[in-house]
Amino acid sequence: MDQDVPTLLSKRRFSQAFERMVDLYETKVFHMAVMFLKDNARAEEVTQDIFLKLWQALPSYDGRASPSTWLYTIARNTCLTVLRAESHRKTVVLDRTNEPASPPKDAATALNLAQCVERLPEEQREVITLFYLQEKSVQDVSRMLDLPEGTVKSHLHRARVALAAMMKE
Amino acid sequence: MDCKQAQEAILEALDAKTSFPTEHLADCAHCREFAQLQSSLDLQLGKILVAPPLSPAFRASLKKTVQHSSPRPWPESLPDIAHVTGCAVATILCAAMLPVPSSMVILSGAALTAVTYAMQCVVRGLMEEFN
Repeated sequence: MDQDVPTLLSKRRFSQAFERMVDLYETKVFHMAVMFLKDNARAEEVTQDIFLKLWQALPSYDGRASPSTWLYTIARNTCLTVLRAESHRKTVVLDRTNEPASPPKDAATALNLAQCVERLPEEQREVITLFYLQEKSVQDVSRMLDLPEGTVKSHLHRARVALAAMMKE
Repeated sequence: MDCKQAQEAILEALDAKTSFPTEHLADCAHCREFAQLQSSLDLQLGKILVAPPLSPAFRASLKKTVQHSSPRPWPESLPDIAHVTGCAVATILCAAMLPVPSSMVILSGAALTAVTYAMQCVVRGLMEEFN
C-alpha cells in the first residue's frame, strides 16, 4: 500500500511523499493517539505534531524500515512523550455519538464494559482498544505497538477472557 | 480437539474474522456458551471502541503548520525585487540604446513594469490558492 512512498522519497519528492502518507495514515495515526491519550481533541493536536515531525524527518529517511513502521514509531514515541509530560490521565469514554439509540439496559451494559476495559492490565487494554479502533487488524496493532503478532494475539485473547469474567461478576 | 484448543480456536476466529470450529461446539455445551459470550463481547466492543473521524479542518490546519515550519531559502520579497530591478535595467538600456526619446522609453518601461508586476501578483495568488 505504501510502495510508491519509498520511490517518491528516493527521488526526493518530499511534498508528494508527505501527502501520500497523510492520505494513507492520518486516520490510523489519529486512532492510535486516541488510544494513548483518551482525549479526542488532544489526540488531534498530537496527530498534527506527529505529521509535522514526519515532514521534518523525511529527508533523513534511510529505507531500513517501511514508511508505515517508521511513522508508527514516531507516533508511538510522540504519544508516550506527551503522556509522560502530562501529570494525569483524563478518563474519557470513547465516542458515544455513534451508539445507536438503545434501551437503558444496553447503555448500562456498554458503560459497564467500557469500565471493564479500563480495568484491564495496560498492555491488554492498549492492544484490545487499538484492535477495535484499527478495524480489527492484528498486523496494524503489531506495527503500531512494535510487538510480534503472536504477542498481540496473546494479549487480545487474555483481554477477551478477562473481560468475559468481569462482565459475569 | 479438546475444550482448551476449541476455545483458543474461537478466539483466533474472532481475531481473523473467520467462522468458529463447528466440530467440537456441536458436542460441548460449555464451549458453545464460551463462543456465544465471546461473540457477544466482540459485538459490544466493536460498538463502544469507536473513535470519531478527524475534524474537517485537520488537513488545512496541518498544511498551514507544515508551510510555516518550512523556512524559505530566500527572503519572501526577493522575486519582487528581482522583477523590478530587471525591468529597471532593461528600461535604462533601452533608453540608452534606442533612437527614441528617453522619456518615452522610461514611461513605457514603467508602465510595462507595473503591468507585469500586477500579473505576477495574480499568478502567485492563484498558485498559493491551488497549493
